[in-house]
Amino acid sequence: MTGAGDIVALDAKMNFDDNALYRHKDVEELRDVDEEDPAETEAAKYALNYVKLDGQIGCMVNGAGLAMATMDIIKLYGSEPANFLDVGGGATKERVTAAFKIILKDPNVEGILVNIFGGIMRCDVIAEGVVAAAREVNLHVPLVVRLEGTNVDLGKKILKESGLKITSAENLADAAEKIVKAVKESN
Amino acid sequence: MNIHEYQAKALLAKFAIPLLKGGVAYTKDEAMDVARKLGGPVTVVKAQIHAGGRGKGHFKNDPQGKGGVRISKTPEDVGAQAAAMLGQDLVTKQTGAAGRTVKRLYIEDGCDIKRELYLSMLVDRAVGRIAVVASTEGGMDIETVAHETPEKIITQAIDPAAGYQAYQGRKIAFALGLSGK
Repeated sequence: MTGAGDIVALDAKMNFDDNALYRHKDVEELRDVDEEDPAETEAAKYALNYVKLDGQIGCMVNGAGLAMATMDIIKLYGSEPANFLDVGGGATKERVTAAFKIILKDPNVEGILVNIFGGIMRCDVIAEGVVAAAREVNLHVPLVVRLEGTNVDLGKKILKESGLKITSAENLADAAEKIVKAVKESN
Repeated sequence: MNIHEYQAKALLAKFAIPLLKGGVAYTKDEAMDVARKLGGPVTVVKAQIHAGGRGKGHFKNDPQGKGGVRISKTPEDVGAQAAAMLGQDLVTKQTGAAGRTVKRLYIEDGCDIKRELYLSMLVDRAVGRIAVVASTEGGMDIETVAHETPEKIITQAIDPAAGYQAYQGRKIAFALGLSGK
């Protein structure tokens, strides 16, 4: 309120629901990418849900609920997740590769845990993506992969025959234990 | 997604919300141009970053100096303040220690502020409705107000079928101590 008794808007802050931006192109144009986390911007390009956190273990998971459970169990085994990353239900090889690159850009990442339940997604596609990505980025940190679901045996075979240093895990607890141990040993 | 203050104000202008005149500037020269067009006598130079607490923040290269909202009396001084802010990292309560680099400024007419009020609209998840939140304690950290003096915050949830009602507007206006006009 001014001395003359008028009301003016002195400051203004607005926040938009990202999930509704597709139907408000005029608002989307106001985006200032300089103000956003570069890794999250990159992730958005590939339709990946990525949120950077402060821990050491990078996670790549399909499904938000499973991703939450994965972060919880990493903490249970005494480490901290470096990120939340949901590759979504229909991830392709390209998206898996992009996800890997994004995780590895974070200098705090000392190990990666891939936890995929192949429902819509096939485990062999994920395995191929993981192998291709690990080769492409010259993976230098321990990698534990837990696959379950459709084509799980074929997926595990692809990982095994890749010749890469990938640790396979049987279940979620086993996977978390293995990655936490691997990171501690490599330090 | 967040947007800048100047962008938000441009949206508000479309809905006839009263605003002060101003313009965005990416360089010192643009800042001086806007200041000349506004014509004074008082001009405010506001750093545009996606974080609150700009006025009370400080620049990394000048920790004891002024914050991200500065008052100026001449276009030349607006230019000097712009030069001091652009490209520098502004640290506020919300940015973390790294701060945010200021790349845009909003140059706005100054005004004689008698009282600062707070008004916002948000989706209130607890009631599943759009709510209007107002307080007489504007111009400062609203989270702190809500925490320490919750009685100074008034909330009106809008029924989606009935829409915003006149009585709700009156409730908010009285709570804000408005009268006259």
